[in-house]
Amino acid sequence: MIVVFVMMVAVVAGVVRVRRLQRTRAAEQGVHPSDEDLVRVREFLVALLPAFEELERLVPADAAPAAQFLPQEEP
Amino acid sequence: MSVASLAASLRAGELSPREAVQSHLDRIEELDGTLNAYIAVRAEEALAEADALGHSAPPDRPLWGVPVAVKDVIDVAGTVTTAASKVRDDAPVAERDACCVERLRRAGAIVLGKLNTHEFAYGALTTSARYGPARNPWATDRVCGGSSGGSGAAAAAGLAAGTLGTDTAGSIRIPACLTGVSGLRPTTGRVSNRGVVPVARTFDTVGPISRSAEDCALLLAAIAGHDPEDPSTVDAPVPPYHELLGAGLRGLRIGVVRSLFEQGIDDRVAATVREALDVFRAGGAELEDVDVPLLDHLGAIQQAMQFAEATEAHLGLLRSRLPDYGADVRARLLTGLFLPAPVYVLGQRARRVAYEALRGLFRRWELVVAPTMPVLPPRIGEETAELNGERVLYRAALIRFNSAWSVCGLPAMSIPCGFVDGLPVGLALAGWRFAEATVLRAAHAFQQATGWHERRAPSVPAPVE
Repeated sequence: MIVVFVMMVAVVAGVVRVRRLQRTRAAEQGVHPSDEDLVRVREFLVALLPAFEELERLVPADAAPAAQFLPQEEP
Repeated sequence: MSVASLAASLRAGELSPREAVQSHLDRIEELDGTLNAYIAVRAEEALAEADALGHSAPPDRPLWGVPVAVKDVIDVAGTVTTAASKVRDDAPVAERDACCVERLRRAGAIVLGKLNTHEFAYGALTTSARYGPARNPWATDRVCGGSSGGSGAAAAAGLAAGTLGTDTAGSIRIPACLTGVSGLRPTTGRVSNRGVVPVARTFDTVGPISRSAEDCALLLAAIAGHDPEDPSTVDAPVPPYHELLGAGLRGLRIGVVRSLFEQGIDDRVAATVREALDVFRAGGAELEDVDVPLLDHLGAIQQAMQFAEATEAHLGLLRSRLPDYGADVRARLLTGLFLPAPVYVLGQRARRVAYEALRGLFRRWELVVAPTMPVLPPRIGEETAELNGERVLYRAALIRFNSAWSVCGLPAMSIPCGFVDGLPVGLALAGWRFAEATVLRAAHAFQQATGWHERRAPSVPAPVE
């Protein structure tokens, strides 16, 4: 659902507004990309977001996340 | 000379470690101006280290005097780890060897230098804006693949007896394939990542790229094993890979990943790999076409996590050094800023589903085989490759062929199995977790029955044996 929401925002808001949102989002994390950077980022997102949306449909609701290398020893 | 034959010659006293190092330095001097496989050569240090080894090989040092080189994301004490990036121009000299380098040295190997890579090991071309492209010994106007492209070029051209690369999403297998050598991505957790610049920490793996499966077995045996300083490593015994090589193919159950021969692949590459499968049948293996569950989604699963992990690893540098990154790596790292956190969790849940599905596959089959790469190496400067008369985006074409094994942390190897238009084609072998011995045994049997791994690039003169 989140991926769908992100895509809808992108479609509805238009490229300029999305770029402004992205710039704000990046600045909140202390990063300041150029317009050229954001064009390339958009190319990646256009390819990635539909694939993630499909993953959302595929993964069963009860699927647990993969392990994260937590130590296995007893305390 | 291969790692195996050079180690044997050194042990027999047919040449000294200094002579082995000097002959490789001469070859680097002769060829690396064209190939650009090395970022830094440790000529004086390597000669001094050769002299310090003494005059005879102790039995517990199987790589005694063997000159090797490592990808320049791996720390070697006394050198700067550049990661082929301008971002690291002012990085400090490494004070300590990476764990894998410590272990190579403990086995007696001598580190000749640091090898070219795609910037920060985050891409599959090895065309660093800062250090220039590594050139493919089979056609010097073409890329070596990546990200361990310098390792592939050096192994193919004999600029080191053996090399180490790293693999997050194919970065050992892709250059091994495109440069016509053998490369093994070990199981995630088999080799320590301590002292290695990260790409995506839950995928990253150090592994060998060399002339043959036998060489890879020797190198892996030296570097594998638990490292108390790297919690991702698994505390499990390391099998004697070299001793297990000779078990042959008889009775081995091998699944052939059908769809990777049929979709998104150059027909000539598919036919070449298909033909190579006859060697396994002739050796007594049982082969049958199989389907890999979720194959078309494994790339997305990897990317759901890899983008976030890579961006997190670079966040500090993105804040302070953004303009110093190459444009392609900068764009990948920035993309991670805009993927919401739930995408990462989705990736982790999907990874679990994929893992369980592939576990089912490997209950039936000990190994699976497929083409390593669907296309021939692109020309330097191009981001597309030819696929059956059409131009396709190179980085997109290769994802489907490499992600399954990375997502599930499985051992996977590429070995040369033929040529198309004079360029090498690779066959991928993958096994279940910690089945490196089985992967290496099958690869070795294939190489004993064929001579593809002994072919030398026409642009590279044969080394003096």
